[in-house]
Amino acid sequence: MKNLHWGNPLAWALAFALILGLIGCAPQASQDAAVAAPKSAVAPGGKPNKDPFGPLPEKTVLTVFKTEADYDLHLNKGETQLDNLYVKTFGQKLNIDYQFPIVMKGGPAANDKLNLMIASNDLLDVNFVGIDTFNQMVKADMLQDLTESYNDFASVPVRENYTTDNGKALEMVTRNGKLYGIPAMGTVHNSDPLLWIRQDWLDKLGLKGPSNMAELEAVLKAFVEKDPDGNGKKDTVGLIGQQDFINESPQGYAYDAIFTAYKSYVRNWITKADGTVEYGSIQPETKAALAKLRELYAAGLLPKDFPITKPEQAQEPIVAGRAGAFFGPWWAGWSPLTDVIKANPKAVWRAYVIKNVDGKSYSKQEAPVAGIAVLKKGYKYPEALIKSINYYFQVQVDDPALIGGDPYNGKDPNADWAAVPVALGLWRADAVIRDHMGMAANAEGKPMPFAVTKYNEKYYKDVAAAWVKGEDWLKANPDSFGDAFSRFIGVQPIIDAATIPVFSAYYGTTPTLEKRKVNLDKLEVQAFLNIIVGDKPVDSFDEFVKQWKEMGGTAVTQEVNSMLK
Amino acid sequence: MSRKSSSIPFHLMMLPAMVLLAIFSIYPMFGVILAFEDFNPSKGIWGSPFVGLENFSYMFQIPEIQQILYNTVFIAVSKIIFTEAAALTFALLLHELRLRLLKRVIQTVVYLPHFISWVLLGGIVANIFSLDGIVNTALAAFGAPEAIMFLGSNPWFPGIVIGTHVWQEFGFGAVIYLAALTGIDPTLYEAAEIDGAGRLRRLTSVTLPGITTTIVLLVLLNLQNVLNAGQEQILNLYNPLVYQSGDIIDTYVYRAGLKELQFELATAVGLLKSVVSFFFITVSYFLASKFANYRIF
Amino acid sequence: MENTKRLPAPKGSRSRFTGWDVLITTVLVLVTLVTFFPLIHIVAVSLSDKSAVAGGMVTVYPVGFTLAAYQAVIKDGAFFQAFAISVERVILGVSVNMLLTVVTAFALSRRRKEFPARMAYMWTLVFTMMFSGGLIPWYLTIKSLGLLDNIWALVLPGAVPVFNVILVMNFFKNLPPAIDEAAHMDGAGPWTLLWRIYLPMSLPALATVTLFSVVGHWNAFFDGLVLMKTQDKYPLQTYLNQIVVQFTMANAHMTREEIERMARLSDKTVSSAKILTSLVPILLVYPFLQRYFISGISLGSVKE
Repeated sequence: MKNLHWGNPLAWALAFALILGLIGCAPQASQDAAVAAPKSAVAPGGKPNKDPFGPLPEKTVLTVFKTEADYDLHLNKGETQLDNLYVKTFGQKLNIDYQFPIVMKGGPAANDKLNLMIASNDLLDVNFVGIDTFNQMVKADMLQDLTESYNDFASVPVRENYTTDNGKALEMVTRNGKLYGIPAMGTVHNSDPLLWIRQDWLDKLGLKGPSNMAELEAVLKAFVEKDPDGNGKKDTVGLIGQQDFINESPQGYAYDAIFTAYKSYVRNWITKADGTVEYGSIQPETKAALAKLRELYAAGLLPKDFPITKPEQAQEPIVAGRAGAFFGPWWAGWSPLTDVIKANPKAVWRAYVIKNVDGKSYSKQEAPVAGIAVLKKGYKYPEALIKSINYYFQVQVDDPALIGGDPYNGKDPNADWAAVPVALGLWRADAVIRDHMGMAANAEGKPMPFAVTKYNEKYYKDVAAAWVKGEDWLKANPDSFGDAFSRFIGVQPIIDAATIPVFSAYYGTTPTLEKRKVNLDKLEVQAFLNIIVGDKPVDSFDEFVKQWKEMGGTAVTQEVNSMLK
Repeated sequence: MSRKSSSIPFHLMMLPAMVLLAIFSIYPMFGVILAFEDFNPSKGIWGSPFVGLENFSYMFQIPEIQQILYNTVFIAVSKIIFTEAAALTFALLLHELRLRLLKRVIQTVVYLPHFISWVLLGGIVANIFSLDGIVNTALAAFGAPEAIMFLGSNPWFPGIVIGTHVWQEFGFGAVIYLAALTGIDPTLYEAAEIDGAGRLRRLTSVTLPGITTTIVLLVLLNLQNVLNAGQEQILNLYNPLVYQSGDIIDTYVYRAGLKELQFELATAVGLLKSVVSFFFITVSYFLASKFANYRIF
Repeated sequence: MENTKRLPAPKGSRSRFTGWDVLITTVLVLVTLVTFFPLIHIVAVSLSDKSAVAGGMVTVYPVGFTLAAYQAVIKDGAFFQAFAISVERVILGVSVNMLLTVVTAFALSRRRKEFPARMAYMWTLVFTMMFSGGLIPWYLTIKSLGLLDNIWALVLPGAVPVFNVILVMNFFKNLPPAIDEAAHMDGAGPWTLLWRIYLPMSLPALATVTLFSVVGHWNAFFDGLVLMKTQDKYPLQTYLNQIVVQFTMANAHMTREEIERMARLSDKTVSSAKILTSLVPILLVYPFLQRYFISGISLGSVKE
């Protein structure tokens, strides 16, 4: 295939969440400005004025880009993800002929394929896209306006669900007062970086769990110097790190939490006291955080090679038992800790929250929108998408009795949500904390603190039942370990520390940002690394700020501010 | 049949290839107009507005464009030279190897890395060059004072990219030289031996001249990669510390997300790369035919 | 190669193993070992316990030996389905490639006197090798021909391997001109000349480009990804490309299902086992082609 120049393999790598837009000639710029101005077309909450579960006027085909679930969906014998009771029942009740011409495993390969279909204007009716692709499709006028269908048909439970993030997600998929997609919400606290630490090492060294940077530094020093694993070698790594150490939303093994501890919100847009918005990475607080990181690096408390460590390699010293501290989300119990306890069942891990210089806990958050279900422009009955989602939400999340029961009624366990024709992860924005509360109540034998859906009732019970069997049992049953351990050990510290979620003041792009984001990001990460590894003095930060502004940062800041007005 | 037979049979022989190329290569080539458009998928290739050279000017406005171009050409050209040199050397050595079974085994083994993707090789290379990896351990044994962070070091990084590429590809590249070596007329060796030529003489006076055409041909054809420095490999090896020495056109385009949604920019980059490579190939073709009288086409 | 074998090697010095030979053998064996390392590593990973691999504890021998990864491969129906499609693709694709290669290369190897249009054809070929209209028009063309989801979509667009054509053409050009003369005397037309004389004399070159063609088809994944709609039509590399992806904590918006999937899919052992299994056909085909470009060399070969 030597003669095909397009064949550069992109597909294996994870896409970096940014886009460069069309080259900015003036009319486009104004178009962009209009596009990005957020204004909600549909109010969260409220009631439909037409039957949210009624059939379409005529039998209509709805083609769906399907993501294959490669785990057990708990279906009946002979059924598949494409042909099961959900697909049949929804189709009958809604008068929709669901078809799945394209089925893929998710991930970058599916993304490549979808992008090509978009570019070739060769779309199926229903697609699932990220916010960047969404913006492009809106700009290219490829999406169906869903405002009216949503207002007429969205069911009460679906609307209520969208109140849990105060309407942020719906707002983000609204352009020029029109709703162009049905979003899955980001989940609050889903990616809060907790300090996961070897409790058995702490105990052995007579240290208590750290709650601020000074204590963390002392613990790391003890870990590195005092041979906590007792193998007689000074081979313990300090705080695990990786090359993507600063991010818009916190990532595993990164150092976002250290910046937050100095009240620096790197790679986020922050609102200043006077109401203007500025870039977090260029604030003086960032300089203080960098100075501390430089100190830690020089003292050998960060791995010397963190700047060249790929995210997927970062876990290796943890699993191998050579590291006892890393920043990871509440769900680190699944990964990497499931591997860790398999390799070394004696290791005891606990999670702590590192508070900031004022003794308070803040955390950057993932963007308020995850996936977005969109409909091809010109589809005859746009309500088909809304109704499919109403129905799925009823069957899988809310009370199935409302629509005549789950077709899989009586089956245990219930069929998985990925089996529904239009599967979108519609859980509440506060699901992390709420699920934990539900499970904790179950484990302690207390009544549920809130109304709970059938599906969750059973799920909470199962996880709680595993948890009460104790840590030793979980370690002996690694398949149950991840869920139970994460849900309890991982979430409790967030509640105890009353972590306050911090959102970026602006998500998305601007004309200058589209052109210069790669360069600005490169400048930033290099400047930061130079300071941390000691190639340049801490004061070179000021030089970086100046360069950043000159390279387009000032223009970007102005554009962001004008868009938020 | 007379000597001045018609060339119709040859046209007939060309026909199937030409038809297929016309359909699958030449006809879609009109798509390059994308590079001069502000592409809008819903308007299509023919309906999107023209913007002239704007997509190209974008490329030249990139602040680090010189560095990126330099890295690309340096890495790509070094890869061509060293891979071909290693493949040729290896083929010549293997040609001289007398143990036939060993010869086959060696040849099979060295060509296998060609089949392993950089997603996997990247991790392996990272381990080999890590602070406590094989290379640093060996250096320490020879008394090196401090472990070197090879993949984070600008002086080392391009060398590692080039070296590991050679390591992956030389065995596969040698196949073609081995085939060429079998084409050398054995009587030439006989004659050389009768003349009392030693092994080295036979190499320089029979073997090398016998495959010069192949060498020229391959180097020339490889010039089409003069701006392809290996996206997949570098994405799997690089990090912000070595952007300065390792960021190439393709990785930049990748980070900018151009291939994902900015098809007009990706097309412009592709077109520019093709033009440059075509220029190089054409020029070297005429140079080779004029000065060395090799006509490879 | 046929003719070289028939020549008896002169008796004497060449059957002795000299210092040169020792040196060459040593160098080659060392080089081979260095090249072998990644393969050994992948084999070791495929035979190791998942957790040991996640801890980076595996280098050249398995840690916590287990065949679990291979059991997973055997149970994976999709893997073998994709495998079969790849085999079909290679058979069709290589046949078409080779047929077009030899015919096209033969026509182009004629001298300008015989075939005045050859340079025009030649540059057209080179031009198509260098330039492409990009992904979108290519995709739309194939789609408009109704080839999506059809195995021929993986065969026809790359049916003319220009690189291979140039290689074979050069080989043809270097054949002794006396052959052509003789053929003309016998009244043989161009087709006879090609099939009866050129092809049998070009086995090393043909074996080489066959190998390139096999490898090209076996390794291609991107066309399968965009031209086949559903996974049951994917060739093996497209299938592998979907599973050999790094899943890390780097993703925001992880759902519970994705987290669980990640915990399973970070399983390098299974993907290593799948990659090794995918190498098997390459290893099986190789010796058949290899004999044409490695043995039968008079110099240095042990006397028969």
